[in-house]
Amino acid sequence: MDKKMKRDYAATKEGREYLRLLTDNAKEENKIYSPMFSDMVDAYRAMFIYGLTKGKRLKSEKGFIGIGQFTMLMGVYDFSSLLESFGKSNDLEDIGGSINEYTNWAIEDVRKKFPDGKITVKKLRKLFE
Amino acid sequence: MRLLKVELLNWASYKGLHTFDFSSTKNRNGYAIFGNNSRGKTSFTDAIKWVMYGEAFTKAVMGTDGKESRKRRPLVSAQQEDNPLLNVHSFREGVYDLMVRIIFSHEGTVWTLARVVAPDTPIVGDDNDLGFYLGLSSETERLENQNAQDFINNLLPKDINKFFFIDGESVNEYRALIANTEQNLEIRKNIEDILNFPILKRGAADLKEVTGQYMTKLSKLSKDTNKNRIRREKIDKLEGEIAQAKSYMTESQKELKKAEKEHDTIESKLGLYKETEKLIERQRGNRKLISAANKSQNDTYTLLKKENKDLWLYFLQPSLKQKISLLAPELEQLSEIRYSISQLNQRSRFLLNAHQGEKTPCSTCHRLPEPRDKEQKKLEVVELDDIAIKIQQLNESLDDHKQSSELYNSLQQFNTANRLDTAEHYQERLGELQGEIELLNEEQSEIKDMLDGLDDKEIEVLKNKLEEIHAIILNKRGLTRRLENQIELLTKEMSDNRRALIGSDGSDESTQLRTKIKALEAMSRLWDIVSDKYAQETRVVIEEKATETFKSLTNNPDGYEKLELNSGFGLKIIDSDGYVIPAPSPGAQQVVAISLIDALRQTSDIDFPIIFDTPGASIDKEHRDNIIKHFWSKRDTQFIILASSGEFRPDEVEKDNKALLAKTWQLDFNSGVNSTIVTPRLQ
Repeated sequence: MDKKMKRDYAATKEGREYLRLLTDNAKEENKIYSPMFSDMVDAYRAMFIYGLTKGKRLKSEKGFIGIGQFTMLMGVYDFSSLLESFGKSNDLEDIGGSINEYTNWAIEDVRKKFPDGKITVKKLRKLFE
Repeated sequence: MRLLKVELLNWASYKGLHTFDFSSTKNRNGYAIFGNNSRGKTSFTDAIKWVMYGEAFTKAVMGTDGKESRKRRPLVSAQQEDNPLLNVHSFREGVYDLMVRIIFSHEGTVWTLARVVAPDTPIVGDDNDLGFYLGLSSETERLENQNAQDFINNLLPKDINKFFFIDGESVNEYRALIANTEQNLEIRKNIEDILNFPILKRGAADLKEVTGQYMTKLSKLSKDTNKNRIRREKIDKLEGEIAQAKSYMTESQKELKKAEKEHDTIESKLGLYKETEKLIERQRGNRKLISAANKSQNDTYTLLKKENKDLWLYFLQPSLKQKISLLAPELEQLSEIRYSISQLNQRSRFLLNAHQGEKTPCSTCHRLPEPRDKEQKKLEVVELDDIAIKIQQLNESLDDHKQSSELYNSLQQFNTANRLDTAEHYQERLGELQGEIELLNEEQSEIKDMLDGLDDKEIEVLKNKLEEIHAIILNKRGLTRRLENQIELLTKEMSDNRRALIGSDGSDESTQLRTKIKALEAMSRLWDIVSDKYAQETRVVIEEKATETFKSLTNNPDGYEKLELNSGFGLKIIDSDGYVIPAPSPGAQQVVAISLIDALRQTSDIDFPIIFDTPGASIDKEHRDNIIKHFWSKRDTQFIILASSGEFRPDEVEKDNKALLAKTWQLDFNSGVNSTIVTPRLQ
């Protein structure tokens, strides 16, 4: 797997700002009341699962900006089995790229639906249905 | 007194003859006359007042000096805006007959009262060309003009008719019941009138006057001796001292009254301060609540964020479960293959063992193999080969399913309890807490605004002033009491001297006068005691009855303790915490006024219907409904409301109060005949 994971987990510039908005890491002027997540990695994981279970990927023309190391994202978990189970057959050729694209689609979708970042567990849950 | 019929001839907007028949066999007291504005509702009330007192007034108009005034309505005018009593169109047509007749029962007798205006001249130009006639008759009696008027004044004195003809649009008169204004003094006098206090006061004065007359007469009968001359001088001196003491007392009483009034005003202002004390207390309480809610909010937020760390896993669970269930049949096959391989291996081991040494017991059952012939042994070798091939095939199949097995095992790492409901609960609780905090903060901000307008120094000044005035009041009361005692002592001394003076005569006449004086003095003392007791007991009764009515009329009976009536019949509303409500709303004032009117009515011996014009002018629907239900259901007196459709919906009122209503009418204006049209509704 190491061979296939050369990059950091990443998002577009706007996507990264949006993730910040969902966490305590938002800039003071953008900070919303009670953001859902403590860390961006928690938000990123939730977005990845949303994109993956919906089977939607989105490339970025401008490319992605790294957020952190994949090892940090995955922790003790093996994300390749998730790609293998819920993704497409070629996802495993570039695991990092796949994760970033699934997540990118999810961020854009949620951002369109909740531009102010005021999402709740209930609202997010509805998206998965 | 019970109204049976009202007839109007060319009265105001009622051109021609119109009749309201109030007689009913239903034994109910609810009557309602509905009509939009300018349809003749107020003219109906004016008609009854006019037939009784010979005058009708326009609605109150606020003057430039801020005082309200009413104008007497003229009898005739060709201009509608002058509000003449004779129908304008009748007047223009040269018809000058104007009459209001009411038929009523009073103490078992049916009476007809009619006030008629007829022209003195063929052509009428103004009121001076018209003559009045007032007649009151029963089956056995007939009274005219002043005699009829005296009877009516006795039935319901003009000064106090405002307690029976209530005008919802003239709330100022009712506000005066609560405010300390000159108007209030007038109303208080009316209240005393309604309770017959003046008769009691007059009685005491009359007794004292007669006593004085006898005293003077007696003193003239005394012998002209030297001793008596000294006594007379003494009496003159005492009279002077008494007059002076009385003058001081009057002055002291005036100052006392002034101080008491000022005391009431300051106390009322400080009532507001007490309100603010409550606000401050509430502010403190809110602060504690906000702090607790903030802590709870922080704790819940921490829990939520902790849950949200695994949110991705919770979201994954439904898909994961599905995937795992899809892998299940393959895993079952895998298990079956493994089992088959194990069975085959066992068989293979047994056969091999059997071949290697027939004397070696079976490792499992410890028995020696059965002795076999060559044929059998050959077959077993063949079987061993078959088993090897089968195991080979099964192992190959095992490799095919191994991937699924690995995937299954790998997916198990994501399998966890789904705690989305818990996370959702935390988030909802967070929202609730936020809402609570916002509400509390809003209230805090409102309280702060209210408290910002408060002047602590002014309150201190007021408190000091109140103490000063309190001291003055105590001082003046003491002085008044001392002067009263002094007057009493001087009067006693004077009476003693008079008696001594009188006693020296010894004639039968003086003895008789002395006896009469003693009797009158005893009566006078008794009268004072009884009057005072009556006034205080009446006040308490009125206070209780007014409170009872107020609680049944208000929408928030638990929010009030009582209506408090002081000895001067000034009214205060006391809230459930025992504080005076300093500035009640106009609606509340009207409800208080109605409660007092009701209490006075119940306490007085005057029996007259209540005619309530525009009951909903200053109050909301709920209070309006409370008022009509209260009066229509509980009283043995007719209660007639005159209501516009903006206040009440006739259909609704009739439907909701079917069991309470005796009769209702609808007033409309027909411009074709230039007259109000009276249509009976519920009859």
